[in-house]
Amino acid sequence: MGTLVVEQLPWYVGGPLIGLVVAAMYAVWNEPLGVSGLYAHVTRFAVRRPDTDMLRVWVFAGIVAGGVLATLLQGGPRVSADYGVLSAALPLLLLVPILFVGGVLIGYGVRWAGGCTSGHGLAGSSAFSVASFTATATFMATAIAVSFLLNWLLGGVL
Amino acid sequence: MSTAGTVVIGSGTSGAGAAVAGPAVVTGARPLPLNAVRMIARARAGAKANRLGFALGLVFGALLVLVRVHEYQTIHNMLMLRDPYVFLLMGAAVGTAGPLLWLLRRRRWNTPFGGALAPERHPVERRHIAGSMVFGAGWAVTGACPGPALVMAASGNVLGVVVVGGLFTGLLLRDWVARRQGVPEPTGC
Repeated sequence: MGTLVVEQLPWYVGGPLIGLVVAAMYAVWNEPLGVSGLYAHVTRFAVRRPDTDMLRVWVFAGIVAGGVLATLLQGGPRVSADYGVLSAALPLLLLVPILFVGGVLIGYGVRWAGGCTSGHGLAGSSAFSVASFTATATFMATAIAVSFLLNWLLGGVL
Repeated sequence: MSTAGTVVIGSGTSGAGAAVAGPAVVTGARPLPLNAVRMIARARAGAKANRLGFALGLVFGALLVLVRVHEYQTIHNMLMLRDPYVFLLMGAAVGTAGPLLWLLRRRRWNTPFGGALAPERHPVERRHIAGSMVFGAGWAVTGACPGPALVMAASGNVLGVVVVGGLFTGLLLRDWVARRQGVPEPTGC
């Protein structure tokens, strides 16, 4: 099997395709495509809670499989621990706990806000939900501000 | 409204709880999830209604790799305002899905597994802002949000596994705090 190496789809190709997936989730199941909600139902599935939404568990599994499939088509997967400029700036021993804490912040925040980049940023915004517009503007502005702050704290290496 | 055993899809969710005894809502004292009516509709449509979600996830996961948002550098360059790629990408996605959904609603689209198309819309609450600030900070540190983090792990980056592990931990932590405060679990996305 040959490998399909696509460096990065142009935004005007990838964006509309992702938009079609978001629309399909609504058009077929009447549900928002929110990945943080998928995680939440996987945690319910893990403890066999009866109110687990199996649709969301299946979509979660599909995303993992899709990630593996696309990586395979591109000649991977390669086991790595690469984190761009952050790898260069910090030793691995420090990077791992920082990324874990970053993950905790993501999980705590998205569960509190009831959605993330996909659920609020893409799906909710496409449905013209005011809460989603507000959430999206908030996490974008916060992430930009914190990125600049981190770069400043690390002496401009990021 | 609904009577015992029959569910009118799209009839709202409050009040349906007392009458509905589907497999998805036998939860004792837990509050009825917002999407419980749709979950019951899917349970009635059979397992294929749920399994079909795997195909949608497959396409979504592959696309996330093809646009490279599962790499720290892509998101970091966006948040440092060095490269507009991800802003344009998200704009194009919403610019495609938004008009499509508007058109489908105007045509009174009936979804195969969830009744009449009616995307949830919520008024702004404090949690949308407070939660998004916490999430934004984590996004800036890791350069990953829930979808791309998952795909980062799937593509073989062990640091993606660390982020996903933290994400699950934070999610359960929030559920624990919410339970202690007596706040109902968020539903939907």
